[in-house]
Amino acid sequence: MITRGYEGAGYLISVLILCFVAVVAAYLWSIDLLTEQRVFGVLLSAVLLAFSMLIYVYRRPSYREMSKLLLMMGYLGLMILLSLGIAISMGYVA
Amino acid sequence: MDSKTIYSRIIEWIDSRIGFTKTILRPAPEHAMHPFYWIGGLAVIALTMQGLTGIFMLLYYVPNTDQAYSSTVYIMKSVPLGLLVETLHLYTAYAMILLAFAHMMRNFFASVHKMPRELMWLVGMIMGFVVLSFGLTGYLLPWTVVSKSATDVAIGMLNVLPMQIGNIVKFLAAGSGSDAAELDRFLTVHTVLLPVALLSLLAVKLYMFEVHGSPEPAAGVKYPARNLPWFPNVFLYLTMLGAVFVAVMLAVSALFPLVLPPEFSPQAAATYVSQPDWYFLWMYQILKFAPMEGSGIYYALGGITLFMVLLTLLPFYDRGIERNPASRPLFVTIGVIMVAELAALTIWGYLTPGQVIPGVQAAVVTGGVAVMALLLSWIIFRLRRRTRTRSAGGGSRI
Repeated sequence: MITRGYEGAGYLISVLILCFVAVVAAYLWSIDLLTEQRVFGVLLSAVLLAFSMLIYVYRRPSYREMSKLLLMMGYLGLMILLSLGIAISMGYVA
Repeated sequence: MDSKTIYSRIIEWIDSRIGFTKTILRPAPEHAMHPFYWIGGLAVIALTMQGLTGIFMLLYYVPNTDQAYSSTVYIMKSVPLGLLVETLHLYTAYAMILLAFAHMMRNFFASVHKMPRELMWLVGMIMGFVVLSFGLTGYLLPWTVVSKSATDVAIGMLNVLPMQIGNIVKFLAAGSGSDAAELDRFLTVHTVLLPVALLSLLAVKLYMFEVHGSPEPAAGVKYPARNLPWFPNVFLYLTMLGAVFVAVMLAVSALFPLVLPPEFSPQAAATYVSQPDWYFLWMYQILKFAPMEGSGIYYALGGITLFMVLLTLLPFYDRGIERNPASRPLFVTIGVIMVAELAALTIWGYLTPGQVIPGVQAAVVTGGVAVMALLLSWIIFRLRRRTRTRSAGGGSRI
Protein backbone atom coordinates (compact mmCIF):
# COMPACT_ATOMS: atom_id res chain seq x y z
CA MET A 1 0.00 0.00 0.00
CA ILE A 2 2.80 2.35 0.94
CA THR A 3 4.57 1.60 -2.35
CA ARG A 4 1.35 2.21 -4.28
CA GLY A 5 0.86 5.43 -2.36
CA TYR A 6 4.36 6.59 -3.28
CA GLU A 7 3.81 5.74 -6.96
CA GLY A 8 0.50 7.58 -6.94
CA ALA A 9 2.17 10.68 -5.51
CA GLY A 10 4.01 11.28 -8.80
CA TYR A 11 0.70 11.28 -10.70
CA LEU A 12 -0.94 13.50 -8.10
CA ILE A 13 1.88 16.07 -8.38
CA SER A 14 1.63 15.98 -12.18
CA VAL A 15 -2.16 16.48 -12.15
CA LEU A 16 -1.89 19.37 -9.69
CA ILE A 17 0.80 21.08 -11.76
CA LEU A 18 -1.18 20.51 -14.96
CA CYS A 19 -4.27 22.09 -13.36
CA PHE A 20 -2.14 25.08 -12.29
CA VAL A 21 -0.71 25.44 -15.80
CA ALA A 22 -4.19 25.20 -17.38
CA VAL A 23 -5.69 27.87 -15.09
CA VAL A 24 -2.76 30.30 -15.47
CA ALA A 25 -2.51 29.73 -19.25
CA ALA A 26 -6.25 30.40 -19.62
CA TYR A 27 -5.86 33.64 -17.64
CA LEU A 28 -2.88 34.66 -19.80
CA TRP A 29 -5.11 34.57 -22.90
CA SER A 30 -7.39 37.20 -21.37
CA ILE A 31 -4.65 39.63 -20.32
CA ASP A 32 -4.11 43.05 -21.95
CA LEU A 33 -0.60 42.77 -23.40
CA LEU A 34 0.08 46.51 -23.26
CA THR A 35 -1.02 47.55 -19.79
CA GLU A 36 -0.47 44.22 -17.99
CA GLN A 37 2.71 43.00 -19.61
CA ARG A 38 4.55 42.70 -16.30
CA VAL A 39 1.80 40.41 -14.96
CA PHE A 40 2.05 38.47 -18.22
CA GLY A 41 5.81 38.07 -17.76
CA VAL A 42 5.56 36.85 -14.17
CA LEU A 43 2.73 34.39 -14.90
CA LEU A 44 4.41 33.06 -18.06
CA SER A 45 7.49 32.53 -15.92
CA ALA A 46 5.32 30.52 -13.47
CA VAL A 47 3.97 28.40 -16.33
CA LEU A 48 7.51 27.65 -17.54
CA LEU A 49 8.63 26.75 -14.02
CA ALA A 50 5.62 24.43 -13.67
CA PHE A 51 6.48 22.90 -17.06
CA SER A 52 10.04 22.19 -15.92
CA MET A 53 8.67 20.62 -12.71
CA LEU A 54 6.47 18.35 -14.82
CA ILE A 55 9.51 17.24 -16.81
CA TYR A 56 11.39 16.62 -13.57
CA VAL A 57 8.57 14.46 -12.19
CA TYR A 58 8.30 12.60 -15.52
CA ARG A 59 12.05 11.89 -15.63
CA ARG A 60 12.10 10.19 -12.21
CA PRO A 61 11.00 6.57 -12.18
CA SER A 62 9.29 6.87 -8.78
CA TYR A 63 8.37 9.38 -6.09
CA ARG A 64 11.11 7.96 -3.84
CA GLU A 65 13.78 9.08 -6.33
CA MET A 66 12.53 12.65 -6.54
CA SER A 67 14.46 15.27 -4.59
CA LYS A 68 11.99 16.63 -2.06
CA LEU A 69 14.13 19.76 -1.72
CA LEU A 70 13.89 20.50 -5.46
CA LEU A 71 10.12 19.86 -5.42
CA MET A 72 9.68 22.18 -2.44
CA MET A 73 11.79 24.84 -4.15
CA GLY A 74 9.62 24.49 -7.25
CA TYR A 75 6.38 24.85 -5.26
CA LEU A 76 7.82 27.81 -3.37
CA GLY A 77 8.86 29.41 -6.67
CA LEU A 78 5.34 28.92 -8.08
CA MET A 79 3.77 30.43 -4.97
CA ILE A 80 6.10 33.44 -5.04
CA LEU A 81 5.51 34.06 -8.77
CA LEU A 82 1.75 33.71 -8.40
CA SER A 83 1.74 36.11 -5.43
CA LEU A 84 3.90 38.59 -7.36
CA GLY A 85 1.56 38.36 -10.35
CA ILE A 86 -1.43 39.15 -8.13
CA ALA A 87 0.48 41.93 -6.32
CA ILE A 88 1.53 43.60 -9.60
CA SER A 89 -1.98 43.39 -11.08
CA MET A 90 -3.44 44.93 -7.89
CA GLY A 91 -0.84 47.71 -7.93
CA TYR A 92 1.05 46.68 -4.78
CA VAL A 93 4.36 46.36 -6.66
CA ALA A 94 5.65 49.48 -8.42
CA MET B 1 3.97 -7.44 -41.50
CA ASP B 2 6.08 -4.48 -40.47
CA SER B 3 4.77 -3.00 -37.21
CA LYS B 4 6.60 0.34 -37.56
CA THR B 5 4.44 3.44 -37.52
CA ILE B 6 4.57 6.03 -40.27
CA TYR B 7 6.14 8.43 -37.77
CA SER B 8 9.08 6.12 -37.00
CA ARG B 9 9.51 5.33 -40.70
CA ILE B 10 9.77 9.04 -41.53
CA ILE B 11 12.30 9.58 -38.71
CA GLU B 12 14.35 6.59 -39.88
CA TRP B 13 14.28 7.82 -43.47
CA ILE B 14 15.51 11.29 -42.49
CA ASP B 15 18.12 9.82 -40.12
CA SER B 16 19.48 7.48 -42.79
CA ARG B 17 20.05 10.54 -45.04
CA ILE B 18 21.35 12.99 -42.41
CA GLY B 19 22.67 10.72 -39.65
CA PHE B 20 21.67 12.99 -36.77
CA THR B 21 21.35 10.11 -34.24
CA LYS B 22 25.02 9.34 -34.86
CA THR B 23 26.17 12.97 -34.60
CA ILE B 24 24.41 15.86 -32.88
CA LEU B 25 21.56 13.76 -31.40
CA ARG B 26 23.73 10.84 -30.34
CA PRO B 27 23.53 9.37 -26.81
CA ALA B 28 25.30 11.39 -24.10
CA PRO B 29 27.28 10.02 -21.12
CA GLU B 30 25.40 9.90 -17.84
CA HIS B 31 27.85 12.25 -16.11
CA ALA B 32 26.85 14.99 -18.61
CA MET B 33 23.41 15.21 -16.96
CA HIS B 34 24.65 18.01 -14.71
CA PRO B 35 24.09 21.78 -15.08
CA PHE B 36 27.88 22.39 -15.26
CA TYR B 37 27.91 20.55 -18.59
CA TRP B 38 25.19 22.77 -20.02
CA ILE B 39 26.43 26.29 -19.26
CA GLY B 40 27.39 26.66 -22.92
CA GLY B 41 24.00 25.22 -23.92
CA LEU B 42 22.25 27.83 -21.77
CA ALA B 43 24.36 30.55 -23.45
CA VAL B 44 23.06 29.27 -26.80
CA ILE B 45 19.48 29.47 -25.46
CA ALA B 46 20.23 33.06 -24.39
CA LEU B 47 21.58 33.76 -27.90
CA THR B 48 18.37 32.37 -29.42
CA MET B 49 16.31 34.63 -27.14
CA GLN B 50 18.51 37.54 -28.18
CA GLY B 51 17.77 36.79 -31.82
CA LEU B 52 14.01 36.50 -31.32
CA THR B 53 13.65 39.61 -29.15
CA GLY B 54 16.05 41.54 -31.41
CA ILE B 55 13.99 40.73 -34.53
CA PHE B 56 10.85 41.87 -32.68
CA MET B 57 12.48 45.21 -31.81
CA LEU B 58 13.81 45.72 -35.35
CA LEU B 59 10.19 45.78 -36.56
CA TYR B 60 9.72 49.10 -34.73
CA TYR B 61 13.20 50.57 -34.26
CA VAL B 62 14.08 53.53 -36.52
CA PRO B 63 17.86 53.74 -37.04
CA ASN B 64 18.49 57.46 -37.34
CA THR B 65 19.73 59.87 -34.73
CA ASP B 66 16.44 61.80 -34.60
CA GLN B 67 14.20 58.81 -34.07
CA ALA B 68 16.37 56.09 -32.47
CA TYR B 69 15.48 57.21 -28.95
CA SER B 70 11.81 58.01 -29.65
CA SER B 71 11.29 54.70 -31.45
CA THR B 72 12.82 52.87 -28.45
CA VAL B 73 10.42 54.74 -26.15
CA TYR B 74 7.58 53.87 -28.54
CA ILE B 75 8.46 50.14 -28.28
CA MET B 76 8.44 50.39 -24.49
CA LYS B 77 5.24 52.39 -24.10
CA SER B 78 2.98 51.66 -27.08
CA VAL B 79 3.79 48.20 -28.43
CA PRO B 80 2.07 45.21 -26.76
CA LEU B 81 4.72 43.29 -24.74
CA GLY B 82 7.28 45.89 -25.97
CA LEU B 83 8.64 46.77 -22.52
CA LEU B 84 8.92 43.08 -21.57
CA VAL B 85 10.69 42.18 -24.82
CA GLU B 86 13.05 45.16 -24.62
CA THR B 87 13.95 44.33 -21.01
CA LEU B 88 14.27 40.64 -21.87
CA HIS B 89 16.69 41.54 -24.69
CA LEU B 90 18.86 43.50 -22.26
CA TYR B 91 18.84 40.93 -19.45
CA THR B 92 19.43 37.92 -21.70
CA ALA B 93 22.40 39.82 -23.15
CA TYR B 94 23.73 40.20 -19.60
CA ALA B 95 22.98 36.53 -18.94
CA MET B 96 24.76 35.50 -22.14
CA ILE B 97 27.90 37.42 -21.12
CA LEU B 98 27.80 35.93 -17.60
CA LEU B 99 27.17 32.41 -18.95
CA ALA B 100 29.98 32.75 -21.52
CA PHE B 101 32.34 33.83 -18.72
CA ALA B 102 31.13 30.99 -16.43
CA HIS B 103 31.57 28.52 -19.31
CA MET B 104 35.12 29.76 -19.87
CA MET B 105 36.04 29.56 -16.17
CA ARG B 106 34.46 26.12 -15.81
CA ASN B 107 36.54 24.90 -18.76
CA PHE B 108 39.62 26.63 -17.30
CA PHE B 109 39.30 24.91 -13.90
CA ALA B 110 38.24 21.53 -15.35
CA SER B 111 41.12 21.63 -17.91
CA VAL B 112 38.75 21.20 -20.85
CA HIS B 113 41.11 23.41 -22.89
CA LYS B 114 43.81 20.72 -22.92
CA MET B 115 44.57 18.31 -25.75
CA PRO B 116 42.68 17.59 -28.00
CA ARG B 117 40.37 20.59 -27.38
CA GLU B 118 42.89 23.45 -27.80
CA LEU B 119 41.17 24.84 -30.89
CA MET B 120 37.75 24.62 -29.19
CA TRP B 121 39.12 26.93 -26.49
CA LEU B 122 40.52 29.28 -29.13
CA VAL B 123 37.20 29.43 -31.01
CA GLY B 124 35.35 29.85 -27.69
CA MET B 125 37.56 32.81 -26.75
CA ILE B 126 36.90 34.48 -30.12
CA MET B 127 33.17 33.87 -29.54
CA GLY B 128 33.57 35.57 -26.17
CA PHE B 129 35.05 38.66 -27.86
CA VAL B 130 32.19 38.65 -30.37
CA VAL B 131 29.68 38.51 -27.50
CA LEU B 132 31.38 41.52 -25.87
CA SER B 133 31.25 43.33 -29.24
CA PHE B 134 27.51 42.63 -29.32
CA GLY B 135 27.28 44.42 -25.98
CA LEU B 136 29.35 47.39 -27.15
CA THR B 137 27.43 47.90 -30.41
CA GLY B 138 23.98 47.24 -28.91
CA TYR B 139 24.60 49.69 -26.06
CA LEU B 140 24.62 52.66 -28.50
CA LEU B 141 21.40 51.82 -30.35
CA PRO B 142 18.82 53.38 -27.93
CA TRP B 143 20.79 56.65 -28.33
CA THR B 144 20.68 57.56 -24.65
CA VAL B 145 23.04 60.07 -23.11
CA VAL B 146 24.81 57.32 -21.13
CA SER B 147 25.26 54.92 -24.03
CA LYS B 148 26.38 57.54 -26.59
CA SER B 149 28.92 59.13 -24.22
CA ALA B 150 30.41 55.75 -23.25
CA THR B 151 30.60 54.65 -26.89
CA ASP B 152 32.39 57.88 -27.83
CA VAL B 153 34.94 57.23 -25.08
CA ALA B 154 35.48 53.69 -26.43
CA ILE B 155 35.89 54.97 -30.01
CA GLY B 156 38.25 57.69 -28.78
CA MET B 157 40.52 54.99 -27.31
CA LEU B 158 41.18 53.71 -30.82
CA ASN B 159 43.44 56.77 -31.26
CA VAL B 160 45.93 54.97 -29.04
CA LEU B 161 46.52 52.32 -31.72
CA PRO B 162 49.82 52.88 -33.59
CA MET B 163 50.23 54.31 -37.12
CA GLN B 164 47.03 54.43 -39.19
CA ILE B 165 45.52 51.30 -37.60
CA GLY B 166 43.42 53.43 -35.21
CA ASN B 167 41.93 55.46 -38.06
CA ILE B 168 41.20 52.36 -40.14
CA VAL B 169 39.53 50.53 -37.22
CA LYS B 170 37.65 53.73 -36.36
CA PHE B 171 36.35 54.00 -39.93
CA LEU B 172 35.35 50.32 -39.96
CA ALA B 173 33.64 50.60 -36.56
CA ALA B 174 32.09 54.04 -36.71
CA GLY B 175 32.02 55.16 -40.33
CA SER B 176 32.93 58.65 -41.53
CA GLY B 177 32.76 60.23 -38.08
CA SER B 178 29.26 61.74 -38.05
CA ASP B 179 26.70 60.59 -35.49
CA ALA B 180 24.41 59.25 -38.22
CA ALA B 181 27.21 57.17 -39.76
CA GLU B 182 28.19 55.86 -36.33
CA LEU B 183 24.65 54.72 -35.50
CA ASP B 184 24.22 53.22 -38.95
CA ARG B 185 27.52 51.32 -38.73
CA PHE B 186 26.84 50.06 -35.21
CA LEU B 187 23.38 48.80 -36.18
CA THR B 188 24.78 46.95 -39.21
CA VAL B 189 27.56 45.39 -37.16
CA HIS B 190 25.13 44.48 -34.34
CA THR B 191 22.40 42.96 -36.51
CA VAL B 192 24.31 41.49 -39.47
CA LEU B 193 28.07 41.14 -39.07
CA LEU B 194 28.25 39.91 -35.47
CA PRO B 195 25.32 37.43 -35.71
CA VAL B 196 26.86 35.90 -38.86
CA ALA B 197 30.27 35.72 -37.16
CA LEU B 198 28.89 34.24 -33.93
CA LEU B 199 26.71 31.63 -35.69
CA SER B 200 29.62 30.60 -37.95
CA LEU B 201 31.93 30.22 -34.95
CA LEU B 202 29.21 28.31 -33.09
CA ALA B 203 28.90 25.92 -36.04
CA VAL B 204 32.68 25.35 -36.01
CA LYS B 205 32.65 24.78 -32.24
CA LEU B 206 29.73 22.36 -32.44
CA TYR B 207 31.53 20.45 -35.21
CA MET B 208 34.61 20.12 -32.98
CA PHE B 209 32.35 19.10 -30.09
CA GLU B 210 30.97 16.32 -32.29
CA VAL B 211 34.51 15.17 -33.10
CA HIS B 212 35.81 15.17 -29.50
CA GLY B 213 32.60 14.47 -27.59
CA SER B 214 31.62 15.56 -24.11
CA PRO B 215 34.64 15.95 -21.79
CA GLU B 216 34.96 13.52 -18.91
CA PRO B 217 34.89 14.95 -15.37
CA ALA B 218 38.30 16.37 -14.42
CA ALA B 219 38.43 14.06 -11.39
CA GLY B 220 37.91 11.04 -13.70
CA VAL B 221 34.93 8.76 -14.22
CA LYS B 222 34.50 6.48 -11.22
CA TYR B 223 32.26 3.98 -12.98
CA PRO B 224 32.00 2.58 -16.48
CA ALA B 225 30.38 5.51 -18.34
CA ARG B 226 26.77 4.71 -19.25
CA ASN B 227 25.32 6.43 -22.28
CA LEU B 228 21.78 7.81 -22.25
CA PRO B 229 19.74 8.13 -25.45
CA TRP B 230 19.33 11.68 -26.73
CA PHE B 231 15.57 11.27 -26.86
CA PRO B 232 13.94 11.42 -24.38
CA ASN B 233 16.72 11.69 -21.74
CA VAL B 234 19.03 14.46 -23.01
CA PHE B 235 16.18 16.29 -24.74
CA LEU B 236 14.05 16.40 -21.57
CA TYR B 237 17.00 17.42 -19.39
CA LEU B 238 17.92 20.30 -21.70
CA THR B 239 14.26 21.34 -22.03
CA MET B 240 13.93 21.38 -18.23
CA LEU B 241 17.07 23.50 -17.75
CA GLY B 242 16.06 25.81 -20.62
CA ALA B 243 12.54 26.28 -19.21
CA VAL B 244 13.93 27.25 -15.79
CA PHE B 245 16.40 29.66 -17.42
CA VAL B 246 13.72 31.37 -19.55
CA ALA B 247 11.41 31.48 -16.50
CA VAL B 248 14.08 33.26 -14.44
CA MET B 249 14.79 35.72 -17.28
CA LEU B 250 11.07 36.47 -17.73
CA ALA B 251 10.49 36.94 -14.01
CA VAL B 252 13.49 39.27 -13.60
CA SER B 253 12.44 41.26 -16.72
CA ALA B 254 8.88 41.64 -15.44
CA LEU B 255 9.94 42.64 -11.92
CA PHE B 256 12.74 45.05 -12.88
CA PRO B 257 11.68 46.63 -16.19
CA LEU B 258 14.13 48.74 -18.14
CA VAL B 259 14.27 52.43 -17.26
CA LEU B 260 15.71 54.40 -20.18
CA PRO B 261 18.12 57.29 -19.39
CA PRO B 262 17.45 60.64 -21.17
CA GLU B 263 18.04 61.07 -24.90
CA PHE B 264 21.53 62.04 -26.03
CA SER B 265 22.29 65.68 -26.72
CA PRO B 266 25.61 67.51 -26.26
CA GLN B 267 24.03 69.56 -23.43
CA ALA B 268 22.76 66.45 -21.62
CA ALA B 269 26.11 64.70 -22.15
CA ALA B 270 27.91 67.52 -20.32
CA THR B 271 25.97 66.75 -17.13
CA TYR B 272 26.47 62.95 -17.23
CA VAL B 273 29.52 60.90 -16.27
CA SER B 274 30.18 58.53 -19.16
CA GLN B 275 30.38 54.99 -17.89
CA PRO B 276 30.39 51.72 -19.84
CA ASP B 277 28.02 48.83 -19.13
CA TRP B 278 29.01 46.56 -16.22
CA TYR B 279 30.93 43.98 -18.31
CA PHE B 280 33.49 46.64 -19.32
CA LEU B 281 33.73 48.25 -15.89
CA TRP B 282 36.89 46.29 -14.89
CA MET B 283 38.72 47.77 -17.92
CA TYR B 284 37.26 51.21 -17.24
CA GLN B 285 38.48 51.03 -13.63
CA ILE B 286 42.05 50.17 -14.71
CA LEU B 287 42.02 53.14 -17.11
CA LYS B 288 40.95 55.39 -14.21
CA PHE B 289 44.06 54.61 -12.16
CA ALA B 290 46.13 57.82 -11.91
CA PRO B 291 49.34 56.27 -13.33
CA MET B 292 47.34 55.25 -16.43
CA GLU B 293 46.41 58.87 -17.22
CA GLY B 294 48.16 60.58 -20.16
CA SER B 295 50.78 58.39 -21.78
CA GLY B 296 50.06 55.69 -19.15
CA ILE B 297 47.04 54.67 -21.23
CA TYR B 298 49.45 52.88 -23.61
CA TYR B 299 50.63 50.66 -20.73
CA ALA B 300 47.06 50.09 -19.51
CA LEU B 301 45.70 49.08 -22.92
CA GLY B 302 48.87 47.10 -23.65
CA GLY B 303 48.48 45.23 -20.35
CA ILE B 304 44.80 44.48 -20.96
CA THR B 305 45.61 43.24 -24.50
CA LEU B 306 48.45 41.07 -23.16
CA PHE B 307 46.07 39.58 -20.56
CA MET B 308 43.50 38.76 -23.27
CA VAL B 309 46.16 37.22 -25.54
CA LEU B 310 47.62 35.14 -22.71
CA LEU B 311 44.14 33.88 -21.77
CA THR B 312 43.37 33.03 -25.41
CA LEU B 313 46.63 31.10 -25.81
CA LEU B 314 46.20 29.21 -22.50
CA PRO B 315 46.09 25.68 -24.04
CA PHE B 316 49.49 26.26 -25.65
CA TYR B 317 51.37 26.77 -22.36
CA ASP B 318 49.16 24.94 -19.83
CA ARG B 319 49.94 21.58 -21.42
CA GLY B 320 50.42 19.23 -18.45
CA ILE B 321 48.48 15.96 -18.61
CA GLU B 322 46.94 16.49 -15.16
CA ARG B 323 43.29 17.58 -15.42
CA ASN B 324 42.13 17.37 -11.81
CA PRO B 325 41.99 20.92 -10.28
CA ALA B 326 43.34 19.51 -7.01
CA SER B 327 46.57 18.60 -8.81
CA ARG B 328 46.97 21.94 -10.65
CA PRO B 329 47.57 24.42 -7.79
CA LEU B 330 49.41 27.00 -9.94
CA PHE B 331 46.76 27.45 -12.63
CA VAL B 332 43.83 27.10 -10.23
CA THR B 333 45.35 29.83 -8.03
CA ILE B 334 45.87 32.06 -11.09
CA GLY B 335 42.22 31.44 -12.04
CA VAL B 336 40.96 32.32 -8.54
CA ILE B 337 43.03 35.53 -8.51
CA MET B 338 41.73 36.44 -11.98
CA VAL B 339 38.07 35.99 -11.00
CA ALA B 340 38.59 37.91 -7.72
CA GLU B 341 40.35 40.81 -9.49
CA LEU B 342 37.72 41.05 -12.24
CA ALA B 343 34.89 41.02 -9.66
CA ALA B 344 36.64 43.57 -7.41
CA LEU B 345 37.48 45.95 -10.29
CA THR B 346 33.91 45.70 -11.63
CA ILE B 347 32.32 46.51 -8.25
CA TRP B 348 34.88 49.24 -7.58
CA GLY B 349 34.28 50.78 -11.00
CA TYR B 350 30.53 50.79 -10.36
CA LEU B 351 31.00 52.51 -6.98
CA THR B 352 33.40 55.22 -8.22
CA PRO B 353 32.04 56.57 -11.52
CA GLY B 354 34.33 59.16 -13.08
CA GLN B 355 36.76 59.27 -10.13
CA VAL B 356 40.48 59.08 -10.79
CA ILE B 357 42.00 56.52 -8.42
CA PRO B 358 45.36 57.47 -6.84
CA GLY B 359 48.20 55.07 -7.66
CA VAL B 360 48.80 53.99 -4.05
CA GLN B 361 45.12 53.22 -3.50
CA ALA B 362 45.01 51.23 -6.75
CA ALA B 363 48.08 49.22 -5.77
CA VAL B 364 46.77 48.54 -2.24
CA VAL B 365 43.30 47.39 -3.38
CA THR B 366 44.38 45.26 -6.36
CA GLY B 367 47.32 43.84 -4.40
CA GLY B 368 45.10 43.17 -1.38
CA VAL B 369 42.53 41.32 -3.48
CA ALA B 370 45.30 39.23 -5.08
CA VAL B 371 46.78 38.35 -1.68
CA MET B 372 43.35 37.42 -0.27
CA ALA B 373 42.59 35.21 -3.29
CA LEU B 374 46.03 33.63 -2.94
CA LEU B 375 45.43 32.94 0.75
CA LEU B 376 41.98 31.49 0.06
CA SER B 377 43.41 29.23 -2.62
CA TRP B 378 46.28 28.14 -0.32
CA ILE B 379 43.86 27.33 2.55
CA ILE B 380 41.60 25.26 0.25
CA PHE B 381 44.55 23.27 -1.14
CA ARG B 382 45.99 22.73 2.35
CA LEU B 383 42.64 21.53 3.77
CA ARG B 384 42.19 19.24 0.79
CA ARG B 385 45.67 17.76 1.20
CA ARG B 386 45.04 17.16 4.92
CA THR B 387 41.73 15.42 4.18
CA ARG B 388 43.47 13.24 1.58
CA THR B 389 46.29 12.33 3.95
CA ARG B 390 43.80 11.41 6.69
CA SER B 391 41.67 9.25 4.41
CA ALA B 392 44.79 7.56 2.97
CA GLY B 393 45.99 6.70 6.50
CA GLY B 394 42.55 5.63 7.64
CA GLY B 395 42.66 2.28 5.85
CA SER B 396 40.06 0.95 3.49
CA ARG B 397 37.11 3.21 2.77
CA ILE B 398 35.01 0.50 1.20
